[in-house]
Amino acid sequence: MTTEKLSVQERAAIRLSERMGKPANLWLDAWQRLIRNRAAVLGGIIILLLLTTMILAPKIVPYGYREGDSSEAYTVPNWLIKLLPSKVATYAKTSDKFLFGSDYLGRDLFSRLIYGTRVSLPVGFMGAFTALIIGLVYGCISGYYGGRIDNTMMRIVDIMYAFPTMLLIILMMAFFKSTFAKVSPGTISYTFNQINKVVDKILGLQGGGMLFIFIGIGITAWMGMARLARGQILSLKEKEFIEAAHMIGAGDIRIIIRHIFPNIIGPCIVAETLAIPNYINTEVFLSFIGLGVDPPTPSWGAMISEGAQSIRSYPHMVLFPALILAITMFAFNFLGDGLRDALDPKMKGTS
Amino acid sequence: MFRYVVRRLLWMVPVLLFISIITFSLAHAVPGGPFDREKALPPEIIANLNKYYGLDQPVWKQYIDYMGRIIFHLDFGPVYSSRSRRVNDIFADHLPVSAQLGVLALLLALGIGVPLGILSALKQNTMWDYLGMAVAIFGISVPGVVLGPLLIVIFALTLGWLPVAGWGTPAKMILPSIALGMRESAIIARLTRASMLQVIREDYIRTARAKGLSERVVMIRHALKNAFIPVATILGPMFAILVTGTFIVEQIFAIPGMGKYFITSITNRDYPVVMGTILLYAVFLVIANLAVDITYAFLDPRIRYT
Repeated sequence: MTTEKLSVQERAAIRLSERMGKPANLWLDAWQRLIRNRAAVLGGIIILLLLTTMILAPKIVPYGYREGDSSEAYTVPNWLIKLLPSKVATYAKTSDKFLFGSDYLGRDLFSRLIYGTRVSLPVGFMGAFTALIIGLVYGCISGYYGGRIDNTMMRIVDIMYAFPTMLLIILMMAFFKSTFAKVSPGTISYTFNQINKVVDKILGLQGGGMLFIFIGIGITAWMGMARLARGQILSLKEKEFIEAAHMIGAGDIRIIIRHIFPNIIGPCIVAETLAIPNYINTEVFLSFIGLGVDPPTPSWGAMISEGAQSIRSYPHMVLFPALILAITMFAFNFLGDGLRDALDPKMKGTS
Repeated sequence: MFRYVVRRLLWMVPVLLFISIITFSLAHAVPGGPFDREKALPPEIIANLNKYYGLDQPVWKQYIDYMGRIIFHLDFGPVYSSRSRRVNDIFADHLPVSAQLGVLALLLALGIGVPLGILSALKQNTMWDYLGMAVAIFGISVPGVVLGPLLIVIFALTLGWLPVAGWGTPAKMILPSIALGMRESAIIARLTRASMLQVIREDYIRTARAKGLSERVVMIRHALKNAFIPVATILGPMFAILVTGTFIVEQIFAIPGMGKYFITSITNRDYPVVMGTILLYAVFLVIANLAVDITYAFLDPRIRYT
């Protein structure tokens, strides 16, 4: 009998019998559920490809992302011109030099898109990472110690929540842009500027102000995680095994790290994976309104914004950044959904 | 009920005061002023402008003057970046446009999201369910900043069915409403599905079926009404955000809405415009949330307000 002929139930039974005798392992189970989810695997592969692109960007790009020849501005690639409305062909310069065409300064769109991964992906991951760290620490303290500490800390979160996030982040970015523009050595702003330069250097960008975007997103993103972590801890800390740990004399820090963390980290990671598209979106929004990365650093949001201005005559400028952004968002959503289903099958299909 | 509504409306006063104080102090805490230009103006002129607009006063006094003008004259103050216009003019000219767009997008989101969510829940794990959730994941993964340009390229430039940009005629309203409403419809569809799945397993649904009600009556009168409560909850903030203007979609489609003023006023330190738009948003939010709370009572008779 071949595997194809087995029913779903039979295959499940075989899997179960293979597992017999082996100790149950949450992560192994989750991994197996994850790799059976085709959409999640596809999302994961796309993310790996994007990450590879990000790391190897200088090796991949045919041209620099800053340099352009204005005599080659607005060139449309030959292969695309047939797909675009026919009137574009009457006035647009076509050439095979640029795979995706060039922008209004004659810069290669393909190279800029590739370097754009060095903005969008770090923003997504750093946003998730900061939110996870701040939120977990804050939520753990609040939930574990409870009482008046919990009350005060959660009211602060409530106030932050009630405030429109967009206003807060725009105000903060405007603040960063004006404070850190011109600084003299020795001040706090100067130190920040130096750190920012290091961050940009690590990412291989010549300027860009990534640190300020990380901070802006980090400050506005941790509240949800704090609430989630607190909620998880509240239900966990009354359990017997925590009581037992107290009984044998374990300290608070040890209990939080050794006994509570492993039990709450799953849902927290899932929540942050699902939040990554939001962080990428926030950076796109900020760059679109001109408060994101500093030009000429290529951000997909800034590219969409530039392209949208000449969408009637040169649609190719907006098309490619929009598509790559959509693909990235799909990948993270697929993987996030898959992770959630894998780590917490009960949650399957809920929002 | 009447007393409840009055009490909630009275609560608006402290809420709005609180929001106005925080926004005012945050906006003024950001360094720089409304008259900073690329090419710096002479200090005398800046001093005169500051004096003319009362910006040389201490911040608390500016705040009191500002609130006084709103309360006694309903005057939201001048626009620093354009001398001939006042914030009231901006509201009069641009709020109706943003409100139209926002309401259309919200109607579209409800029109797509709710039926899709119900269908997915009732036919769980069938083609319909997968289709519904595919649409939902599409809506969440493709934000307006992507969907807007794609819609223009496909339907306006290539197919030539609809105008590229602008506002005023029904044909011009279709694409921006879709670009704005798609994401919200995805959120509504997911939420409707999740809450519907929960509700149809409740005892009272079994009771309703057991007493012989037709499936349609069970679903509409009993299941949907209860499943709609979480959906109604998110409609409040959604309404406030959509109606007060969304920068990206308005920018892409060249729509003369409020979104532009909200963004540019913050970067230009145009304090009265910042305050005006935020207060407007807050008023919409509070009223929308009140409307949502009132609909709870209609959806679920167990909820009573006294």
